[in-house]
Amino acid sequence: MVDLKVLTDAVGALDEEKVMSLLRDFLATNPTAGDAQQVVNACQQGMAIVGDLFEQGEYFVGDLIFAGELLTNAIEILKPVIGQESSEKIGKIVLGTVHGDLHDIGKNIFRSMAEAAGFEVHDIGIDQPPSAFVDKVKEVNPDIVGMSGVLTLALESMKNTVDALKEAGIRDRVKIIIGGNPVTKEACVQIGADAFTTNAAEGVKICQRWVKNYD
Amino acid sequence: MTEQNLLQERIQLFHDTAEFKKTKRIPQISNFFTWKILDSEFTLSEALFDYNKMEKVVCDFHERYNFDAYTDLGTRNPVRVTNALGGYHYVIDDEKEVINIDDQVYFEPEEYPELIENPIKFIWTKVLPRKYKKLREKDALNSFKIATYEFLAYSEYNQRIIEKFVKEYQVPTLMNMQGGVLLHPLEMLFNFFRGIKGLSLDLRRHKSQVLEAIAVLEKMFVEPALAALDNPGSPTTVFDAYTAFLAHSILSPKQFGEFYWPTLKRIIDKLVATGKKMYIFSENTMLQFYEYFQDVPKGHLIIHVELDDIFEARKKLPNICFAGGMPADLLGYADEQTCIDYAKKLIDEIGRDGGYIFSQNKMMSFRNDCKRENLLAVTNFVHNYNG
Repeated sequence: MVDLKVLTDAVGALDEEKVMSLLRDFLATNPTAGDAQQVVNACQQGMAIVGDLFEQGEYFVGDLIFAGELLTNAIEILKPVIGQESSEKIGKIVLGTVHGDLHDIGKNIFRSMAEAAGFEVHDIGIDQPPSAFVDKVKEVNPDIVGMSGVLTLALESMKNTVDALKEAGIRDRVKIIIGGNPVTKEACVQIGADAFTTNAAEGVKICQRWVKNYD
Repeated sequence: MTEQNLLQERIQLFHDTAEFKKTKRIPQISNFFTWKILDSEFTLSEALFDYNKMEKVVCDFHERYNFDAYTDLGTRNPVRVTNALGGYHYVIDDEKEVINIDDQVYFEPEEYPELIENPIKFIWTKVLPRKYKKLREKDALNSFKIATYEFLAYSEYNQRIIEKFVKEYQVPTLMNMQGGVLLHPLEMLFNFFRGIKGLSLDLRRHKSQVLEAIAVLEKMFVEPALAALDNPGSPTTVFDAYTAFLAHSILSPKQFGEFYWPTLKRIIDKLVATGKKMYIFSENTMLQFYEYFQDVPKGHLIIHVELDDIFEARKKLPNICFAGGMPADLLGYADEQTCIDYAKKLIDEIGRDGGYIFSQNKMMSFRNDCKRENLLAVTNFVHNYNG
């Protein structure tokens, strides 16, 4: 069995070579699905370190993009042995970039970090109209809706989406977080969201607090 | 005052401001892009595909708001040229009133050696055919001819509108677009070749090749532009050179030192040696790198900040002239008096002793970025306020 602490630290250090080498050695031992799940968890804990280092100003946006890629590759390599067994999810998020905005980098960073933190994320993609958020919320009944956008016009689309959720009578079933360059405290109030962030790591922490308080 | 004096007065006003001399008023730069089309009688498509309509848009805009200089005169999105080559990178949606631009990824990391070996050959034979699908088709030559005509029409519009602004409105061009654009090679990789994600991965996985690519692209594109700085500046242009910071947004300060600063430092050294000035539009934030800029002599850099706190920027970098500061949030959602109060605060706190050019923080593009009455109130106030 791989040293889980060493693996977590290697992911946290974004040491791709070491992570992949540890995973290949692990796979060579014919591990069980249970062992593989522990390894996945160790990688996810490494992502939490990445988030902390980002918040401390040690890592920057390019590092988060790299971290997302590293985790995706790690999970991909482990897929054959993970099997059907999966760890318990701490909550469900419907995530998308709002209508009129085609940017997805920030959304994807948030998705990687949220999944690593144990959320089940339903990513509906970019340029999504309010109706797409409403439909997905009805379908999967999430705890949280995450709306992303880079353009200033995204603020208007976020407001339209919140209004559509209200109109559908499902606004109060979910917490709403908005993220991206143009979001501010004032915009958050105007839009009717519950929280805002320009920092994916902080956004994940807000979501973690929300689901903890639900329990 | 004669009209010629107004042109010279505006240029002098910008120069004095950049050199931290106290001026009788604060110069104003328009950072309006597609918003000015939304402020006109035309749709985005109508203006972007018809140079006569675009001319009317920018002229009406100037006659209404009377800025001292413009970051865009309707030339930022040459859609007719790129569409003629089958590029279609500009996604125009008249219903949503938005132009989106795709992230551009045109080569894979394994191809760095080819770029490094011969960048011109690589760009012409690999990057351009991938970027413009009509160059891969049978009648590519004909498409290229059509695109050339479109480029000439675009250039003709560019010349015409500049001339009209200089002669008729006595408004100088902000930057010298012919030879004065000093795009950092990392910006080329980020904006034109590898995209945000691709470059973020390359910085860790292919560091030495990224550095080699920067070196060859610098030799190919930056060095000739630096040599051009030895020539006298244009008499109708405010600043001698222009660049934009975008790729810096993915870098740590250490990476900025490795990948960005060496070339930028050579550019700054040349500006200082030749007594020239460069205008930089800095998307996102740049203050995380402020230490690199602390020793730049006054009078050579004008940095237009987007998300940085401009008051903090002034404190941290008293040697740099800043532009921007007026929030799109206020122009789009607040009332006239709130906007004027904020404009006054900007001038009082950072503009009294020079070193500050009034402008909008964002590249104003969408309807709710601004209300006409707010812009009229603010431009009028700034024009008449003496601090």
